[in-house]
Order: sequence, then structure tokens, then C-alpha cells
Amino acid sequence: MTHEVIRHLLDDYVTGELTEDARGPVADHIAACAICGAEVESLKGILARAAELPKSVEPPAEAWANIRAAIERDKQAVGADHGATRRDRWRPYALAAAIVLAAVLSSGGTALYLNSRNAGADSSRPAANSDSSGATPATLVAFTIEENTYLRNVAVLQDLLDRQESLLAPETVAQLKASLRTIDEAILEARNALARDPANKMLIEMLSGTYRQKMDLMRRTAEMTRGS
Amino acid sequence: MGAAAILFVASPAVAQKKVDRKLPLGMEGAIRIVNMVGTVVVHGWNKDTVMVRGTLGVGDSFFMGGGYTGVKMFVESANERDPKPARLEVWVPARVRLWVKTATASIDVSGVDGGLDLYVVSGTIDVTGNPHELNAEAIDGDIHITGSPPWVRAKSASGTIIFRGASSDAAFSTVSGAVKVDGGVFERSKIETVTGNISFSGLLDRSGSFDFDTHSGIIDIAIPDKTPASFSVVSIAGPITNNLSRNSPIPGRFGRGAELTMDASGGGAKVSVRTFKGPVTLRRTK
Repeated sequence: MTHEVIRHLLDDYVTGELTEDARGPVADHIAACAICGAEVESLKGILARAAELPKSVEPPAEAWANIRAAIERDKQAVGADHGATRRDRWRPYALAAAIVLAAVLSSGGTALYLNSRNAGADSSRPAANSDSSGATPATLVAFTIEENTYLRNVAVLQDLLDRQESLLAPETVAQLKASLRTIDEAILEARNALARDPANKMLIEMLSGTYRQKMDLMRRTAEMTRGS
Repeated sequence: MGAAAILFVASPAVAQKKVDRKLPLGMEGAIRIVNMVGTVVVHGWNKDTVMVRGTLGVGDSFFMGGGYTGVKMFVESANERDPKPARLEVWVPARVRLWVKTATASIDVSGVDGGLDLYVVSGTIDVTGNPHELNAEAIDGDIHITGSPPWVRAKSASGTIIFRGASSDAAFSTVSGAVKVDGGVFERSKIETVTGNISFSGLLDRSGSFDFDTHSGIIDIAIPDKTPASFSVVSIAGPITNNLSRNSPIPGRFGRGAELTMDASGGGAKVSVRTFKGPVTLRRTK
């Protein structure tokens, strides 16, 4: 049996489901193959960690009391909101703005948000949409954090794909790169539009969707080049 | 596979050109097939047996093993850098859970009612029948589905997805490949592309939800006249053509694009269409 076949048997090897006649050749190969050896160690680690997990997790005794108390606090907060001071009403937004600032400072991938702020300062631009479909500061916070996560994950997946590229046919690599370029162009176009119209919630959702598609395509390709 | 009862019996067939093997497999067992190049044709049948026939490249080997709950089969190429095509025709119990993975080999499945997980890089996936679950993924291969799987997911990057049938829960996704849906009743569907065109012609369940998203693909939605549905169509920079009712789209923000919100026949199915710049057409089924 060669490496390619044995890769498909490693899970059964680790869980002890291979019969003796297959187990011997697989064990011999693992002893000589660094890639399969590492895969087996990884699988064993996952099994060991899974075995350490509790069969069930009981919530702490005070959980329900805390949940009930939190609901009551929310009810009171809603009731008191009518009389809240201007400063109180803006507190969530101030918190959101602080988180946005932290996210912006923590990543070089947030030119989008900086651009959107510049665009917002352009007095010739129509006022941002203030209807219910407009993006709130919280939406922008969520998106900025989400975008940073996407960019990190994309970098990891890109690194993985670069290492696996030799396993794919050249024409498939070319096709994959063309698809990723198509996605990147769409992301760039949507980002530029969002910079001009930062309150457009739909643009944010579309951009998130396109990022998700890019990650999904990269993840699927990475999985295709692995064993079963 | 995971079943403790699995017995693996590897039987390399050195320089064997033909494959003709059988193994018992429960009617609701599981089967995994890996064949990188060539074809994999799978038929469902009413026997608790897996039978495989086919041909291999010279020097290639075929492995098949398992027990009554699960079977695996692989083709091993003599030269992994230049694998030769292997043609496998497999008969499986109709309610089996089937998993097939290939690189450039095409996959053709018919008459399997259990769950299907099908993966190709650049081969074509063809499915005919009514599997209760169907997940088909390609990188640049086409996916063709004819039938009524209650749950279906199909993804490709540059390949085309063509679905003919009905489903209560369908989702299709491509980058530049076109998505064409033509069929019966849908309860819930989500179709998304980046630049690929979307063409949908079907019946909308009154309580269903239907999402269409693209960056720049053309969206063409055709439904029967008097279908009760609530539409929300938004385009950042593309035109909207409504041939379903007299409602006219209104200009989008900054004078670009368009928006259309309307209830047809009193409203019902929730239809959401979002595009960056692809043109959208709503029309009646011809």
C-alpha cells in the first residue's frame, strides 16, 4: 500500500478498526513517513482531548437565577430609557465606538472603515441613510471585527493552499486563482462603495457574504487535497 | 466509517485491468469511494450487497474492504503524478449513505435514496433520483441534479449548477458559474453567486423564503402568475425590471441602482433579491 491509500486508513488505524492484516503494513508506513506519523499524532491528540470531555455539562446552580435577574434588569432599563439622559442613551454607541477604534488600531486591514470615515466628512455627499436599513455603529463594529477575522483566516488558508498547490493540476490551480481574483475584485468594488456609503447595511451584508464565499472556496480546496 | 465491526480486507490487484468484486452491505450502511481520475458510476438497487465492476490502468490497484455497516473502496495509481483513468461502476443498496471523492473523475449517481456526499475538483457531478440529503461540491466542475431531494446543497466555483426538480430546502453557490433552477415546488432556497448568472423558474411555497444574492451576475426569476409572494429587491448599481406587476422600482441611493418592494397577490412567500450591479428581472413563467 502506498502513501495515498494509507492516508485514507489513518482514522481507522487510530481508532483500532483495522484488521491485523491491514494494520501491519499501515504501521510500517507510519513508522517511515513523517507526514502520516504527524497525522496519526494529531488524530490521537484529538481523540485524547475528546475523551477528556465530560459526558454532559450541568449549568451552575445559580444560572437560572442570574438569567432571571438579567431579564429583570433589561426590563427596567427599557422602562427607564424614556427618561434617560442624552449621555446614557449614547453610552452603547460610545462603547461601540471604543471597540471600533480598538479594532481599527489593531489591524491594517481596516482601511475600509477609515475610508468610510473620510467619505462621511465629504459635505457634498448626501446625508447617510437614517432609515431602519442603515448600518448602526454596532453593525460597523461587528463588521470590522468580522472582516479582521476573515482576513486572518484567509491568510492562514492561503498559506495552506500555497503549500498544497503542487497536489493540484496546473489548470485547476489556474482556475482557482481566477475564481479568487473574481471574488477579490467583487470585494474591492463593494468596499469602495461602502467607503462612499458607510451607512449601507446591505453593502456590509453583501461584503460579508463575499468574504464567506472566498473562505469557503479556499477551505473546500484545501480539504479536497487532503485524504478522506 | 467509524463502525467497530468493520473488517478491512485489502486485496491489491497487481497489473489487473478488470475489477469485479462483491461485498455484503446493509441496506442503510455507508460506503466510501475514492477514484481520482476516470469515472465513478453508482446505481442504487434493492440488495444488501455492493458490487463493483470496472477497469483500471495497467499497474494500478483496487482496494475494497469493510463489513456489513460500512465499505470503502479506493483506486491506487501506480504513478501518483500521472494517474491513469479508472472506470468504476458500482451497485449499492438504495438507502445507503454514499460518499464519493474524485479529482478529475466524473461522478454519476442514480437511484440512491440515502444521503449523498459527492466531491470533485474538476470532474462533473450528475445525480438523478431523490436522495434524502444531497451535498455536492466541485471546484471547477459542473453539477447537474435531476430529482427532488428534500435537502440539497451544491457548490462550485467556475462550474455550472443545473437543478431540475423540487426541494424543501435548497442552497446553491458559485463564483462565476451559472446557476439554473427549473422545477417544482420550493419551500426554502438560497442561491448566491459572485459573477455567475442566476436563473430560477419554479413554484414558491406560500410560507417559504427565497434568497438570491449576486455581485454582478444576471438574475432572472420566473414564477407563475398570481403567486402570493412578498418581494424585496435591492440593487446598488444595476437595473430592476418588474414584469410581474405594475409596481415600478424606485431609484436607489445617490441615483444609482434601484429598489423594489411589493406584495404580489396579497403577499406570501418572502423573496429577497440583492445584487451589487447585476440586472434583475422578475417575470411570469412562460
